Amino acid sequence: MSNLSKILLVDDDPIFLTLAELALKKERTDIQIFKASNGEEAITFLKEGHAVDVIFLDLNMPVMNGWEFLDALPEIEDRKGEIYVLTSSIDPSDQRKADDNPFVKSMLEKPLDRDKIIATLT
Amino acid sequence: MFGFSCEDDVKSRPIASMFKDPRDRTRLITKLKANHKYENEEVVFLRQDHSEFVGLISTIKHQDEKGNTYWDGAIRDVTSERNYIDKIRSREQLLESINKNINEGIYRSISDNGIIYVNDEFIKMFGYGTLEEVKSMNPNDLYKYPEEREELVKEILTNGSVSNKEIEFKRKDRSTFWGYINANKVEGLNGVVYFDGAIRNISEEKEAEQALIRYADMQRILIGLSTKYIDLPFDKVEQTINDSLRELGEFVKADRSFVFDFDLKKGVCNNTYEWVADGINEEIQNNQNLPLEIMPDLVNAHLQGKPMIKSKISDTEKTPFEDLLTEQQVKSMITMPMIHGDECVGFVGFDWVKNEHKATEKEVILLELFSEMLVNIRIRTFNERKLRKLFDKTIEQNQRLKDFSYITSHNFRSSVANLVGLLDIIEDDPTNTQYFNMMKSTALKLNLAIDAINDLLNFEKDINTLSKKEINIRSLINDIILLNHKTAKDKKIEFEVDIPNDLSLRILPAYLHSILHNLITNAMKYGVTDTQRKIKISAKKDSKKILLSVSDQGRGIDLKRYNSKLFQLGSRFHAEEESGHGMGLYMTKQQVEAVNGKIEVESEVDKGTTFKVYFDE
Repeated sequence: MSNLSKILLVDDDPIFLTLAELALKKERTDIQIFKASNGEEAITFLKEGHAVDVIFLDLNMPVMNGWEFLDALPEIEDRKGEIYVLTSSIDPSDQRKADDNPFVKSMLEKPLDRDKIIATLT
Repeated sequence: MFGFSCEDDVKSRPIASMFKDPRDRTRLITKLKANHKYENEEVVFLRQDHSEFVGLISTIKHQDEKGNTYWDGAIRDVTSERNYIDKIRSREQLLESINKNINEGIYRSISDNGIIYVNDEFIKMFGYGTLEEVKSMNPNDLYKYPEEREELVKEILTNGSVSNKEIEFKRKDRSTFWGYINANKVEGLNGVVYFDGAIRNISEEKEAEQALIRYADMQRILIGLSTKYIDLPFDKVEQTINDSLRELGEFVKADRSFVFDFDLKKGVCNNTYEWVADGINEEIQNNQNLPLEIMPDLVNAHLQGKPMIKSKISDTEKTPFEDLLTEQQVKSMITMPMIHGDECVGFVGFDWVKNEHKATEKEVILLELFSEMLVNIRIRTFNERKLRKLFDKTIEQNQRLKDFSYITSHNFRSSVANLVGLLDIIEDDPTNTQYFNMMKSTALKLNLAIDAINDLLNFEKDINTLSKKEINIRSLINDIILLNHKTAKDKKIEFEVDIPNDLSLRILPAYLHSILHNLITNAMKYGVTDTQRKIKISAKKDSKKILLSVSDQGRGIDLKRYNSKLFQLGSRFHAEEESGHGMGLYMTKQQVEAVNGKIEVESEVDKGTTFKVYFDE
């Protein structure tokens, strides 16, 4: 296992956040999990100087959605971390936008199961 | 003078022998007896050698105191002068016969004094009675454009002459004609500058030439009309019809050209296209919904496929139709039916406002072709439009359903994913009630998502099957408040309703209910805070519209940021538990627009939000 140990979950669905946290902790006990319920909270969190290794980003969120979060990302000076779009969307235009976005490593479909956790955290 | 050698020689001759024609002497004697004198009588005398000379003789008779009568006289030999005059006289005669026999108007003028001589043809050509009449007028008045005379004079002074200039001249009766003018400058002995010229009337040639041009123009218009409309793209139809109206109107020198459509069901006709000449009033606004019954002549002629030609409207019988035409200052008109199949669908025509106009065959032919072309193109356009509208609607519906399926499938999938995940962890930890509560709320969310789908599917179907009803707005609002009174009580919401008792609206009832229900429950969910719990619902009639508004004093929406997304499918603005599916305002907007209404939002962060819905009365 690698040392990708700081993870930010960005999703407005509290149930998903709970489930994802449980699933992640089940695979890796050495990780630290942060949660944001929309893009704006995530940006604020990152601006406060928190550095994370992996971001799981939902697309459809109130206040600031996933795309707007990605647009606002250049505002953060000390950026790092791999960004995975994690969504239930089957809209092909979302897939295309994810492929075209330089910050997005890849787009994953919910739920966040064991295979996806292993694939992203190693 | 007479070739005698001495006075005695003279005395020895009879006086009569000195006259070439002795009758001259008799004539002179008779004159002398009557008047006692004569002066400067012209007589041909004979010399001694029988040669002739012309003399002017003057004689006076007087008597002395003794009663003797004397004739004293003087003769002047004027032969050489007389030759010169003869020459002049013959020139004058030549000039006169030239003037008389030539069919050109000839003139001489002086720039300061105007015309000093014109020939008979000139007088005739310009429609005057006598030379004196022509001389007395200002030569500028012989020209349609007096400034052209000034230019001519300038040119003659510079170049010495002008040749074959085409000028429009003006007759005494102010009518005009085209003429060729040739003129040159002549300097007289005393330094006077004369302008001598000849004018030939070329009106006929000119008319023939213009007829030829008009004929070519007409050919061009006819060919243009028949080809232009064949492959006309549909978005160019309106412009092309307007262009044709202008072209035809200008060609026949009409003051208006127009297209009217019959609406036989309503028994009216409508002016659909109009062109007017400069300075002519447009009438298209006034020519809407004209009852066909006021124009039976026109309608009957057109229903039989015949044109209607009125050259002098003031002569026609007083009818409401004639009053209408007079009001619109129409003096003459031609209209031609537009025939589709066996049916007359309207007419095209020309009006003359400034002058009366007698219709020509040409104008009728032009209108006939134009009407055929219009019928064709408009039928094609009509079908195409219908098809395109259907196509656009299908595309739009398709897109809406697609968007909708993405968002619902997203909602379903996230809820199902949660359920699966929750089931997994419940297996590991079956006694954890927190997970059960999560399951319950996820299941409820799924249920709501299914309701939303039903709403949308019904929406597509409803609009075609439901019928409008008169709805009292106040009682509808009261119903909706009652329906939500439990939530309102729990959240301590105060409603302020400001709606006139009798305000009602004819609309699809389910839609109005759904629209208002959604706006009110939205306000209840997102428009109240711990300190602000008031929701104001008002409705009023505003000119021809009915305005409904729902205002809260809650946290408001940052419209600068969210305005474009507010009514989008799948957009949500609130992070809390009660957050919806991103369908409410989308559906509301769809419903408002489906009944031809309009929805607007005003909001200020921390001040509140107002949704306004407008419906046509």
